[in-house]
Amino acid sequence: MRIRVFCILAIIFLNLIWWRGNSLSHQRIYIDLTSPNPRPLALGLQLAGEGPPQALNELREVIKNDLSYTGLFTFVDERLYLEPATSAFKPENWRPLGVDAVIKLNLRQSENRITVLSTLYDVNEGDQILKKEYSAEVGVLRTLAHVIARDIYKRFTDRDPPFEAKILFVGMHEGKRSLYIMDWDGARLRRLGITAETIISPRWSGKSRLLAYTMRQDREWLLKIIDFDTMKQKTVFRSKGLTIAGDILEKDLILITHTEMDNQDIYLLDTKNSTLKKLIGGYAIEIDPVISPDGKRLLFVSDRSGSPQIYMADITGYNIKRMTFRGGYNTSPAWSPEGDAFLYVGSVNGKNQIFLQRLDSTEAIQLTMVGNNEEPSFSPDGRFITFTSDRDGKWKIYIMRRDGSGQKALTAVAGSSPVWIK
Amino acid sequence: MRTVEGMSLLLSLFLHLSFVMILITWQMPPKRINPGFITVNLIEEGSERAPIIVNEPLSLKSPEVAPSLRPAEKERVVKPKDREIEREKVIEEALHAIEAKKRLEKLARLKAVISSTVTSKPLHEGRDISPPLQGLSSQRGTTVTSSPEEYAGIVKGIIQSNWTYPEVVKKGLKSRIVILVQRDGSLKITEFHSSGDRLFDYSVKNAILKSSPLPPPPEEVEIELRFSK
Repeated sequence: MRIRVFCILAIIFLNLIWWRGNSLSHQRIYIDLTSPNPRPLALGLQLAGEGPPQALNELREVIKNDLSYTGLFTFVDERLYLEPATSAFKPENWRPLGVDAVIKLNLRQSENRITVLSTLYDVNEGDQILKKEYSAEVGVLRTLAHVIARDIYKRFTDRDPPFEAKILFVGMHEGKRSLYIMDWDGARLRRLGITAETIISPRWSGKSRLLAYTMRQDREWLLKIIDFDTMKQKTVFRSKGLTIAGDILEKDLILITHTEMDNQDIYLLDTKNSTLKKLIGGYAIEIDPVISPDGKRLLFVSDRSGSPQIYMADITGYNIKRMTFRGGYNTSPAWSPEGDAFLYVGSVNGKNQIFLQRLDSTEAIQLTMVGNNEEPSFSPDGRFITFTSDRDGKWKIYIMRRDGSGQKALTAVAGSSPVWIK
Repeated sequence: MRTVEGMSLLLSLFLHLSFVMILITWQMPPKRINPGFITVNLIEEGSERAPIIVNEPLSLKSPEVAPSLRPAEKERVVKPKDREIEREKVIEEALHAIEAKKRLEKLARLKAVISSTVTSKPLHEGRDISPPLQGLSSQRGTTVTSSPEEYAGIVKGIIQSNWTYPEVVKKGLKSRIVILVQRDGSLKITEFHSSGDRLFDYSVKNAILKSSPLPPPPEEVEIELRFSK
């Protein structure tokens, strides 16, 4: 009897386990996906509310330009929108258009101030994913637009874009050289009150917020430093022989190219004690030192192998290693902000072109093809590159994405030596 | 008496064992992990951060301001009637777009069936799979498939066609997502393992959301999607 009951119970029990096991454990299928369609995110942008039409247009254009130039976003034609700007967001109005996210800006104006409420909606989730209010005077609406674009970019990527960064370069003014500054999109071009026969090699240090540059005046080379916090400048070095600012190591230490006995070498200039220490030198020419973002290494140009090539060394000047082997003329090194790659200018069929090379490789990618292209410089986020080009007949400032795409002129006026200021 | 005692002992044992077994086999309710979207509500920001004013203390000469503002674009004047026609046109275009998209999806599904390279590890290999269920097909109007491999191929095709990522260069990103597809084709994300790159996470989540609902599976199925680039 007991055995029979036990058996029945055991059967029920086992059945129960089998049934549960069957119904609860789903089949699991594994799918590998490796190649997304390379398409930018589609955005919609709508403005509602009050404000001077010109201001509204500017706001719209700046935001669109900032975001689309990154290559990550594209804007769907406004004429296709189904939802009026004043209506509440409904995802079903945007899905048919293939829009991924919608930016709605609501403006209010009181006297000379504009307040913008920016709301970002995710069409696929059907949710609001960002809401922020901004306020600014009508005169600085452009800056406001860059800030709104920055927040949207950051929301999707978690990275800082260079929308608020400035670009400084050397331009012409009344037959002389002058320093200019402009927004990253080429707008709001302003001239600083500095003019000389020759101005070369401006170098920016974001850490100490100093700009070093070299000026030639009355047959002398002058090394100048501008402190961007106090906006004061001082001359830190003067010499009859060619001397060029290299890179700022820290507040009072600058790497320079200096000429002694007709030979250019790399020196460390202590501006506090006015002392000069040779860092890298010899019979060959050593110029153009640039310090890595971590401050531990430097890249420079030397002709010790017979032709100008890029070399890397420790910040102490030791452990010198040749980096470029392609072609017989490679100059103007510039570090990527991550310190994992560098840009340089190399000669191809008699024309100068910009190359990108990883530190762990001897292979370089050619980024420019048309005309001569020189003086490359990475944006603070490492995703854009400014450079100069004579492709349109005169040397102007250009910008491109890190992969060489989206090349465009930023200035109509002639310019050289662009550097990013942030 | 002894029989009753024995019975109750057995019953107690049975109940305890059942309880333990249920605990073991019971699946934790799927936890939805949101890939970190934070909504910032109405944060006032000192947005008019003064643009760098570089020229004032330096001004050896008075600074010049180059005219940089583009002239305002002329506003387009649209008559109400024109607007209506335009709106209708727009709706029509949108409808065409939907239809085109549907056609593309169908094509993608077919393609996927033809060239499926999916690795499938069903739990009960060799077990008969219930015959296709009729009348359960979702809004997509697809017939129910008969094997997990075939179904996986279809799902792969659909998600692949909806997966877009704007950056060509960056590589080495990986994201693993587990979805549970119910018998009506509706899906929910039960596990989300971030790639560490917000844009990449966003792109894979979008690919899944855009693919919902999926064609109805032969039975409720769990799919592990491994996105990499």
